[in-house]
Amino acid sequence: MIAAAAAGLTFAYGDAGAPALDGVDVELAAGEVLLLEGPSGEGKSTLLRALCGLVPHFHGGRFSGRVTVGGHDTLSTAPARIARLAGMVFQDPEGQAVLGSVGRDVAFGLESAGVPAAAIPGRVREALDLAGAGHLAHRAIATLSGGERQRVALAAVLAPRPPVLLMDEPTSQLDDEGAAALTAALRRLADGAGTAVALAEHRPDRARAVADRALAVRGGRIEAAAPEPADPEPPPPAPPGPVLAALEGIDAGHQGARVLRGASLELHAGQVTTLRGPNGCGKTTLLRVLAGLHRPAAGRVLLAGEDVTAVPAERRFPRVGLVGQDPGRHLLTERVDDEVAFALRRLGLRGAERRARVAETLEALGLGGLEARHPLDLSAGQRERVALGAILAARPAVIALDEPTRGMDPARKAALAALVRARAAEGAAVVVATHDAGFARSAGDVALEVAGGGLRPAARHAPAEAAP
Amino acid sequence: MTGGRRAPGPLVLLGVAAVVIAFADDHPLVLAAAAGGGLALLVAAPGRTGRLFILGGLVSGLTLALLNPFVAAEGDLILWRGPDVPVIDLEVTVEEVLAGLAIGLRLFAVAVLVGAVLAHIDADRLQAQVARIAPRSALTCALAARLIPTLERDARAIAEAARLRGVDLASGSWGGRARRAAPLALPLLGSSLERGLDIAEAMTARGYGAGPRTRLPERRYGRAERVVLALGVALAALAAAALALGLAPYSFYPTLDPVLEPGPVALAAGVTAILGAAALVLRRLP
Repeated sequence: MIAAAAAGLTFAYGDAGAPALDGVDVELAAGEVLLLEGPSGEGKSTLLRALCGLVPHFHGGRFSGRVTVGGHDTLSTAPARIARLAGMVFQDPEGQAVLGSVGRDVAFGLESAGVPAAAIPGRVREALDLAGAGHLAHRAIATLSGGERQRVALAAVLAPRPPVLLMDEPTSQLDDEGAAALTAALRRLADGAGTAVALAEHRPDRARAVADRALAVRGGRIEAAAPEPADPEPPPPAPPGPVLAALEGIDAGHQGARVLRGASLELHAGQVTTLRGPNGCGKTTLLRVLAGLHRPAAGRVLLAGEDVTAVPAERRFPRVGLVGQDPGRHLLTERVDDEVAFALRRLGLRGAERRARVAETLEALGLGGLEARHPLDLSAGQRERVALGAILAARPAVIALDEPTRGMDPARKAALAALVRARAAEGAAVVVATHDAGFARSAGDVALEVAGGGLRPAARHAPAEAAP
Repeated sequence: MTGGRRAPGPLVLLGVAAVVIAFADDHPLVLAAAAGGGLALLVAAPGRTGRLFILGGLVSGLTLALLNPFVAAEGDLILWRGPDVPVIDLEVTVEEVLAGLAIGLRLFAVAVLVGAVLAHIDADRLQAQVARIAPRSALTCALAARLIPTLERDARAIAEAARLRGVDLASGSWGGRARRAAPLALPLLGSSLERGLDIAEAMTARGYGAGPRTRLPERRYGRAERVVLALGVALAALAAAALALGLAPYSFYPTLDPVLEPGPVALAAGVTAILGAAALVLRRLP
């Protein structure tokens, strides 16, 4: 039985010249798990939104063709009604919470669907358990980590038991074990309840094992998915240069809870160091201590031998450049080229030299041609690259990247790995906190694991990491 | 209990009773008891949202305390006499100063009591209760309340993004800091608009507006909430008695009444004991 289908679907956003979807024909059967692959910004998210009626009802634009969900034409049915048939999990879990507490937020969809009041608490518990978030039921959304929010967003969509589940990168903030548990749960839903699942993933390796079919969306068209690429042989580790940054015996944490206890790390010129470890183990805190955004309770931070423990982030610029999580949300200017030039202006670079550096950075990040665009008009992946460029343009000696591959397709990830290795080859010391084992393998010279508040060596070919 | 927050009913009753006492009685001891109790409740609250109310109460309370001697023209014990100026009274009396301080203390007490109640209650449960009467308005308020911490986080993240690119937001004169921080308001505005759109889309995708809604049943009160409810009833009874019997009358003019009268002392002790006990219970009990 066909649960959802698009026939001859063509859609263009607002004034965009090129369509985001171009003649898409796809069917999703009940009980099927369909994996959607493909590069960033080429139509996966738009297709999912079309399958739940948000395109065109919420976003507007030029729409032709036909989309049906459970036999209802999405063009003639309000998306709020389609929501009873198709639940959508968006890319960014931060923007999906409607209410402030986990239980209430998960109940929101059930209340909207008119589920009898007495049944709601049980359905909320069931959905939270299914999403691996049962322990979060009484927490406030504001206190959750990114991975925890993603689980809650998933529970909120699972709770009304829609016959069609549309999921846009639902594992992007989950560690490997969390992602495996989620995809297994989706498979069980498809087999047990006959739920039709369409899953867009930039890390198809996480979902191929449970998917019945894989398709790719490229240039707004549906194509056959490429065969799973072989794991590339990691490059030989680069020899260590002098120590550019060191953390010695760092104790740090939040609200009295220490996540780092006596953590020490040396970052050498010419090398890329990768940090792995489950959600909440202290990777982000470690990078923030290095950049001067988090004052450690104990220990020292040294940059080229100088003790900078008490020096704030703005005075560590441009020696340290940190690109934090979700940086695309926090851009400072109204043009892409201004954003990249921001740090260069602070450094006093003028005229032609500054323009050349901006052009070179944008080109290296695949952002050429977007100079005059407003960052908010770009896709999430493009924005994250702009944020990366804004830091890399200043050529910091120590580069720290926190989960830089979130939302990146494999080609972009490979390009980023090449870029950070090139920066290291030019003499920078690079440290990358990542859940992405493939990226860690292809980019890293030194692999470390954050565990028990400290750092210990990890195999460069480490597969899955421990669960939180 | 969600993230340490409580059901609104018992706390609203307790807060309203304390505010009624603060408005109904002029006696400095009673006002001090209400302010002290409010502070104790704030200290027991999760999070740090109460700081704003303490600051706001202090600033507005002190402003009123400072203004009163220049707008009132009463009292016998002259402290300072200035030149004759139309409209403004430049004869400052001890009674005017103390009456001003009492007015300021009342404002401070009300601010910290309101802050304490808001800091303790679960906004979602409050929204659910208000939604019985005005569903759309309640949801709008809940969304606005939820966006405040998100906005705070975005503001912090944007400031950090600027600091990582060499913008010094923490040193120099206040004017200089404000000048450097001002351009960050625009990205913050853009970010908050985007978040608003995200939530609107998420609400649509979760079926908001598709038809009649049902409601998650309210959880039963926990031990702390039951005790606070009992304390609220006691404080409401005390407030009613104070109003009916005039337990704590106090006059500043023309001369100050004696402070240590049995009625006001008993009322102040009752207010302190009830609010203090509520703070203790909220801090200790689940």
